[in-house]
Formats: sequence, structure tokens, C-alpha cells
Amino acid sequence: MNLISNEMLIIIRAVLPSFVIAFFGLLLGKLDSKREINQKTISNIVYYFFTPCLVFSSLHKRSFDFQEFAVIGGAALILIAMMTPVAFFVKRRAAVHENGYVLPIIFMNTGNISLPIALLMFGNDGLAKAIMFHMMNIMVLYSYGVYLVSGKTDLMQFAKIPALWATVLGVTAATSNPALPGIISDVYDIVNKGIDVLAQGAIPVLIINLGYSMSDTKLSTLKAGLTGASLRLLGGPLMAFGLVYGYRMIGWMPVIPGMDPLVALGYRTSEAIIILNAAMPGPIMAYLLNVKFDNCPAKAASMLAVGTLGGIVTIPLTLTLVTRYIL
Amino acid sequence: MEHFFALATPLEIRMMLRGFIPIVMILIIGIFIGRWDNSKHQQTLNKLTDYIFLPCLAFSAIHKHAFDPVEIFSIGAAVLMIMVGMTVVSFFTLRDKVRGCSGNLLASVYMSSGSLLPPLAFVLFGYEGLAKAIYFHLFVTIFYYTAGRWMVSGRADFKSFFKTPLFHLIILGIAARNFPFSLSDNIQELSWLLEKGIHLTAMGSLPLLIISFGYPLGLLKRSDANGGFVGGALRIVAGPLVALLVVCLYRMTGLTSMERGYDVLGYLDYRTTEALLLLGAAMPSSHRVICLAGDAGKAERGTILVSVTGAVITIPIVLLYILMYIFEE
Repeated sequence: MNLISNEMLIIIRAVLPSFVIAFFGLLLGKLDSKREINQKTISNIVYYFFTPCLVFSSLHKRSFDFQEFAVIGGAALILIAMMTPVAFFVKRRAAVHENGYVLPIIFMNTGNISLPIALLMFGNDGLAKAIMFHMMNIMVLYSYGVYLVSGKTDLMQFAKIPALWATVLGVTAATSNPALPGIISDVYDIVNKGIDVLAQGAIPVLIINLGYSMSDTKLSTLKAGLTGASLRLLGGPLMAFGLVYGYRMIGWMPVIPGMDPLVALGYRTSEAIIILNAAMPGPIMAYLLNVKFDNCPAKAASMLAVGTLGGIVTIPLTLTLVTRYIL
Repeated sequence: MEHFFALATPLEIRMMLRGFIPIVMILIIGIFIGRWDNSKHQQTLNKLTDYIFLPCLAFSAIHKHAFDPVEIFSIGAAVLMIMVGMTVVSFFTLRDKVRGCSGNLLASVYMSSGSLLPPLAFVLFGYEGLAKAIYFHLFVTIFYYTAGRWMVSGRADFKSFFKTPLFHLIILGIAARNFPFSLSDNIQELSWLLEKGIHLTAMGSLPLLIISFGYPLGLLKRSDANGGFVGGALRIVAGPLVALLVVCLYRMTGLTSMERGYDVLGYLDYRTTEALLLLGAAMPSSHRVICLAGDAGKAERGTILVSVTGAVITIPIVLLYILMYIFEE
């Protein structure tokens, strides 16, 4: 008798490698007892170079569909909007005054964990869709999220997000297909090759950074983050399932497969990506913003640690529901 | 020189540029990050690459590569000959300056086999080239911990070599490749998951290795080059020439057969080994020399700066030579 079904095996194969890499980061954190590793340097490399290259590399290779972007990006916005009042309600119940408490509940870790799972489970198509969701999530985090913790919105900062420009460039390259003269086409190919190599660094470095961050979390502090993390891990996917069924009811996502099986598969992959991202724990960036504005960083760190550990169980469960009811 | 370039076909030039320019692009990004950061956090990148990324890359490359003791021996012996040859040449050329400046001798002998070579080998020759580059780096690392340390401090430190994660992961990679027993399905599944994680990390190491090489270069100044012309030129010109002698010697002794025969893959494998030896020997000085020599003096910095700048010209020449004369019958 097989203890694990084939479906579950596919999910485990998609999810566990990310946690293996996170474990390497955790191990590195434990070995680095003097804290000689500067996380800001790693974050800068990822933020300014690796992630924009990953975004461009994933977007420019496939045809860009504005409707698909509206559906996935819209879903990210709606999920954030739905989670906001719930998070504020929990914050009031917990008698916490700082707004930083709600950040890891409202926003999702759509970069570190979601991207490799999307890639391993749904291939490059899934990765491109996950990047669309990720872009909307970080855009709102850098505008509304910064406003929540600092009390002001810095639109200049928003315009400085490198991944945003990479998205614009990627979409432009995907939608316009100009016939380039020989030498320019060669240069474009060579530059693309460099971008592809840089893009390969994004996912592992992101996950190792996450594992390293978790290495100095103490078990005694985890209790403080239990409620927020549970809400993020359980409430998120529930809302996403509701949203996907809402999309189907209003006809944005056709229920009937239609004549073209690839198009139908594309729709189902979009739905799966929406639910997968909604099942993610809080993002490290939320914690870093809390540290920057000294707004409840200890509780945020605890929520991230509980959420990431809990995700080992809840993410495969959510994906099982996705394969059973969506795909 | 003009004649040499005129001999290359457009396809060969294009292949060379497609392999080399992306690496230079990423190197420039590394230099930019180093300048921006004032190169204060070199340790961060060193720890990331030494403890996680390079060992994962080594495992990923080695465990996919057929284990061939003759190949390992030929790469190891070639590295030894290149290193000894370079030490002799560098010692006699720099002998007036060597006293109290052994770091410079090391900078002209010791190449950046662990940072620039693996990405370049992977981009140009795929997994086969990557596995050979890892073996090449392994033997250079042995040299680093023995003769390299002896040159700088008067004492070899072979014990430290056995503590490096790189060594352990290479052994693990060879063991995983040649494991003689059949495993249960569950264990196989578990090892597959682990391998997948390591492979994902390995692919991420390619840009990080290049960035970690470029990072300290951001601090070098143009004026540093004055004291490093001879050392730098030795590294990037004498290095590939010594390697070429080794390749000729191998062909003459029949260790890397020139007979194409029926085994085309075997023939290609020999040529890839030769190409890798030439490419490895053409690498610029390693940024690790700065760490090993402590507070690197002007001459060491000059040697590194001259070799890196000069390598922008010499590596394409070596690559074209490889494409035109090594892979051609």
C-alpha cells in the first residue's frame, strides 16, 4: 500500500526542496555565531539585481496577457484588502497599538517560498504568473505597508523599486516584438544570457536569507506570533478559495474547459497560483520595515518564524486541496 | 593579433562572446556592489560561497558526472605542473621583489579557479566542463592550503583543507554517484528531494561566485596597477602558455588521445579537459590572495588589478584558441 499518493508526492517534491535550502540558511546562521554575515549586503544584491533579473527573465520570454495580469494582480489586491480589516480586528483584540503588528498578517511571502514552489510545480508558466502576483504584493507593501508603519507614503521610494522597472521592461519586451538588426539582436541575446545567469541566483539566495533570518529566533518567543501566523496560513487560503469561486461565478474564470485544453490549463494554473500565494506566511520585508520604523519588530519576527514553520504543513495541505478541487 | 582574429569564423567569435560577455557583465555588477558597499562585507560573500554555494555546486556537478580516476589524475597532475611551472617562472621573474612580498608571488601563481572558472566553464561547456572545473579548483585549493600558505607564512596548513565543505561535498558527490547498493524507494525519494534542493542552490551559485570575485575589486585604484604589471602579466600570459605546454605533453604521451576513433563522446571529453586546463590557467589572480596575504600590499593589489583588466583581452584570445585549435581536428 502506498502511504503517499502520487498527487501528494508531486506536492512534496515541489515544496520540500525550498525547505531544504532554507535549512542550509538556518545551518549557516547557527554556524555564524559571531554574526559576521551582513544580511543587508545579501538583501541589496537580491533586491537590486537578482530579483529584477528574475522578473525580466520570466516575463519577457512568454506572451503577455493583460487580462491575466488583471486577474492575478487584482486577486492580490483583493486578498490584501480582505485581510486588512481582519488583521486590525486581531490587533485590537491583542491590545497591540503599533500598526507594524498587522503587516505580516496582511502581506504574503510571495518571493522566498512561493516562487520556487510555483516553478517546481507549474514550470515557467507558473513562475511568470507567481511573479505577477508577487509584483502586486510588493507594490502594495511598499506603498500602503510603508504608510501603515511610518504614517506617510513615500511615492519616490515606490518609484525606485527595481523589480517594478524590470516588470515594465519585461512586459514591453514581451508585447513588442521588433525585428532587430543583426548586431543589435546579437547584443540583446548576450545581455539576455547575462540576465538569465543572474536570475538563477534569486531563488536560492532569497531562501537562504530567509533561513539565516530564522536562525536567531528563540522558541520562547514563538507564542506571541501564533495567532497572527495562524490567521495568515489558514485565513489566507480560505479567502483565496472564496475569491476563485467568486471569479468563476462572475465569469472571469470559465468553469467549462472549452476547446483549447492549454487555455483551460492556463486558467486553472492562475487559480492555483492565487491560492498558493494566499497560503504563504508573512514576508521578511514586513519584518525589515518594522525594524526600520521600530514598529513592533519582535512580534513580527515571531509571526514570521511560526508562519514559516507552520507553512511546512499548511502549504502542502493547501496544494493538495488545489490539485483536488482546482486542477 | 589581427591575423589571429581574422582566422576565427563569425560563429567562433559569437560563441566566445556569448560565453564571456555575460560573465564580464556580472563581474562589473560585483565591482559596482563592492564600491557601493566600500567592500566592507567581503566576509559575507566568502562565507556564503565557501559554506553553501560552492560546495552545493561541486556536489551537483560531480554527482551527475561519470567518475573517471584517469580524468581526475590528468587534471590533478596538470594543475600540479601548471602551479610548479608558474611558481618557478614567477620566482625567477619577481625574485628581486619577492623578499618580504611573498603575497605578490602568490598572486601571480594562484588563479581564481573557484570564482570565475566554474561559471565560465558551465556557460561554455555545460555540466561536463563544470565538473572538470570543480576538479581543477579542488587541486588548486590543495595547492592554496599547502604551498600557498607556506609561501606566505612559512607553514603549510593541509589539515585545514580537510575541514573545507568543498572537499566533503566533492567526496559525497563521488560517493553518491558510485553508491553500489540499491536503496528503498523512500530513501531514494528523500535523496532526490535533497539533490533537488542542492541543485537549485548550485545554479544560484554561478552569479554569486562572480559577484564575490568582483566585490573586492571595487576598492582597487588605478594607481595600484604600477607595481603589478610584471606579476599580472605573468598570471594571464605565462599561465596559459605553461598550460599549453602541459596539453602538448599530454598529447605526446597519449594521455589525452588525439585519435577520434569511433567514440566521439570520448574524443570530445579529452578536448574539453584540455580546454578547461587552458581556460583555468588563463584566469586572473584570485581575490583570495588578499585574504591570505593579510593586508595586501600595493604589489599584490597591482597584480590582481592588472591580471583582471588584462584578462578581459587574454581570456577571449584563449577562448578563441580553444575553439579554433583544441576542438578542431
